[in-house]
Amino acid sequence: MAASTPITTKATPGSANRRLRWIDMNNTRTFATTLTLPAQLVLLLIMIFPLLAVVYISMTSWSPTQGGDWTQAYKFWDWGRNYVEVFTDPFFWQALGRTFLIVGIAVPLEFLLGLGLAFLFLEDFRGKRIFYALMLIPMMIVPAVAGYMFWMMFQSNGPINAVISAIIGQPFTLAWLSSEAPATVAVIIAEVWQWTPLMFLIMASGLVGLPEDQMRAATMLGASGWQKFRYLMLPMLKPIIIIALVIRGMEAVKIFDSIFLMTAGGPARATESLSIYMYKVAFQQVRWSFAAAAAMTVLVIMTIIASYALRPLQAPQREAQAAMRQAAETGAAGSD
Amino acid sequence: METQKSAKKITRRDFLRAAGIAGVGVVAAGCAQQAPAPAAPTAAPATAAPAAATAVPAVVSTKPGLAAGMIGGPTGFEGAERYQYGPDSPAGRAIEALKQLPADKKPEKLIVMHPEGAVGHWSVAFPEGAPTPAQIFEEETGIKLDIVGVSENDQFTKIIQDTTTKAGQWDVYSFWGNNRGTLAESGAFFVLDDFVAQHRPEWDKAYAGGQTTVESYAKYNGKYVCVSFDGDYQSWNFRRDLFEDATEQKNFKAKYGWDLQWPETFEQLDQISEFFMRPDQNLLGCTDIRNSIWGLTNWIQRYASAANPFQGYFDPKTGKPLINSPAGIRATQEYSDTMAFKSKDAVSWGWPEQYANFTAGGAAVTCAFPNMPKFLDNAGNADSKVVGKIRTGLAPGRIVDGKLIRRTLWWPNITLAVSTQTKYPEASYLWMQWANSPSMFTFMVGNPAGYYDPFQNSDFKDPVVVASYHDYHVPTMIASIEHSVPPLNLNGASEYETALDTNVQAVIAGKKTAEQAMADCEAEWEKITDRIGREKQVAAIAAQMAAFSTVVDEPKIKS
Repeated sequence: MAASTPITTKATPGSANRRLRWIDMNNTRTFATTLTLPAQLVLLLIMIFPLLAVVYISMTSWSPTQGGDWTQAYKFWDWGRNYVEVFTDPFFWQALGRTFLIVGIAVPLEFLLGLGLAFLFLEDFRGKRIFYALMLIPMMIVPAVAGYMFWMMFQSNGPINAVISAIIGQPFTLAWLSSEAPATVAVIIAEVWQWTPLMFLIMASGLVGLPEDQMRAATMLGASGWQKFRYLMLPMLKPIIIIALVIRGMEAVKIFDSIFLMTAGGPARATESLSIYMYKVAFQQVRWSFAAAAAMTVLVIMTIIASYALRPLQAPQREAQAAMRQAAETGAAGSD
Repeated sequence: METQKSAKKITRRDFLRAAGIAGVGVVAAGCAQQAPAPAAPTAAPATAAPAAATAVPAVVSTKPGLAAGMIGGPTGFEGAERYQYGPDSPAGRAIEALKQLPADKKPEKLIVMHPEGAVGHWSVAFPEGAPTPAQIFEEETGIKLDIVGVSENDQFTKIIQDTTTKAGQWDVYSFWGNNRGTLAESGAFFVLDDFVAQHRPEWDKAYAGGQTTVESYAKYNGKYVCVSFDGDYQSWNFRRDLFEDATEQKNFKAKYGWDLQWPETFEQLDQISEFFMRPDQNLLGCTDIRNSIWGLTNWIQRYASAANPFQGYFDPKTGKPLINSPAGIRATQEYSDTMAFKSKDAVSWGWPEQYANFTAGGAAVTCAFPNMPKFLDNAGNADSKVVGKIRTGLAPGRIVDGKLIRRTLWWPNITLAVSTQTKYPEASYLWMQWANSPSMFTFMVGNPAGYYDPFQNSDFKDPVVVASYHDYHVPTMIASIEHSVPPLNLNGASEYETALDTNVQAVIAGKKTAEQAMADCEAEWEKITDRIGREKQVAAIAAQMAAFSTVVDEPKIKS
């Protein structure tokens, strides 16, 4: 065998420059890439990689109980049969519908209560600071603790029934958590109790931030309280309201702790939310690939809903951009 | 040109494309790490499988405090000799085999996963003056023990993590026995057949119920894969003060035509429950639980006793579910109807609520773990209003072909297995054989610092255990073991349980009829079996038949 040719290490003039050309800081693109690379890598690790891993697993029938780790899931590749099963699984759609029902009732209630309370706190009154702090307590309680608390309160011999009994003057012993509709009501009450303070907080900051001069002007022009609210405050609060509803709505879709503690999704599946459904599939039944497909389906559904929900916020931006474009075009035509 | 290129901004599309390519690369790189995956329980290596059983070693004891002929066990307290062992005993053989292991098979330390609530059996010395079991083991073998408490609900997840990542964090796993099939099929458990043949644990002689109990506790698909450290057989408790009250007896006989006593059948139990259902006096008829999953223990008792000698879950030849049958429909209907004798909140009552209610004297009858008399009929329990008022009985059953069939079950049961990831499978197994031996397990089960429950013949003869669990309860515990069936511990047990539970809960909630629930459950079970693999499941179901008790009785009560 011939002797191997030694690698020439002799540098030629200009080679260092060539080697370093790819990090040419005079190049805007390179400069920007270099600066954002760490953030991109972090993003890749914490967002893209898990997402791709979930997509990969969802396309197989792999489960950890079949032996082997997730990297070998390709051995169980089944071209997304899990998605077909998700779409035909009535329990998935029931859980989705139930979750939207809970969110659809709880979030508007939280919003209305939060807005109402925020109005009450607009004016100064004695002990306002203390009440303000008290208002925020439910939000600061660990959801699991709140769930257990409401589990106790909704027992047939618990305080809720005791209060109702006192009001109606006869024994009231409804087993809230043992029947379908009352259990759902109980879960919604717990959710509203815990998260109304967040709405209150957001609405209160929104109201405080409204321009005082316009409010004063409206008062001087003789606008009633309702007129000020309807024609001044509400339009100005609109972006805050939308953001609050979207954020809270997206959070509420993930409802888990309180339901898990209060009913564990029961009786039967009466309060089984999406998160409870996914938990059971993934951790009780250990069907990870099916759970991955269900998670991806939920992600797609939620992304579509969120993009529609945020449209009202984007509309003014689009209108402004269109106006600017039109103005520019008009200006250009004028100069011609 | 260059200026144009430099000025080009990074668009969102550019970024997403770059990130996507990198992401696919990372996933591909992850997939490239192809480690071999055990698809089924791993067999012991050929080197660990000797042709013949170990000969009894000639050993001379040097440990002070041991009785004549004994080679090991606890010392230093009165009665210690009861727990000491000779060389030709399961514990003695295990210790001697451990001592003789070659250096590369003998660990410095064994790391054992254990349910948190049971770690006290290993770490707390009992009785006074006694060493802890961990100290005894280290003293006799030179091997340290690290008994690591793990939250009961985390055991399964940790085993799956350890197995799939091949981390080898544990030598011995602990888990709820219901998960045996699923974990065995995931390749988590070392098959112990060769070790059992070599070191002769003699479980069939040691366990109450003999070989049937061994089949129920230790085997999956005909192979030894685990060892039980618990006797979680569901047993029934009733209020002696109520049952022996002359007025209650007279009124009961007048109403139902038979003498008030512990019942033999569920019909009789339901009459007793109805009789004592007095919510106005804060007394419930019967509080056997009805909550999600755990309540199935009581559904299974009503179901499994519906045929002679037992009503199984599946046809062992085809794997077809047997629940959509008169037996399943009747059990489900009764399970729902008997809600009338419980708290209105029964579907959300777990063990804490049930134990608390019985402690307060809130029920005439209940079904619980064997430790209920130990905790509640206990003069040291200042909160208990039922001290001296409890008696226990074997699960009621049904009369089939003139015979009385009574079936209870263990659930969930602390169970240990040797990890396939351990470097020391034989040492791990030998530790389990030693700890599970009649001498050592009985020594530990009497220790109130943990929640092991007795199940070995030696436990029921031990004065400390009998004093703690009560002499009246011992025959019930033995009879419960002898009349038991295993839970649904096949691969996918949790899925089968969830399907069954959801359907019976739907009947309680009034959303389905019992017939509809069983038909739906049958369909769901069929789907699960087909997805997991019918052939494999049928083999496991057929093997599990040996774990069902065939003991039948003659009915005595004429009601």
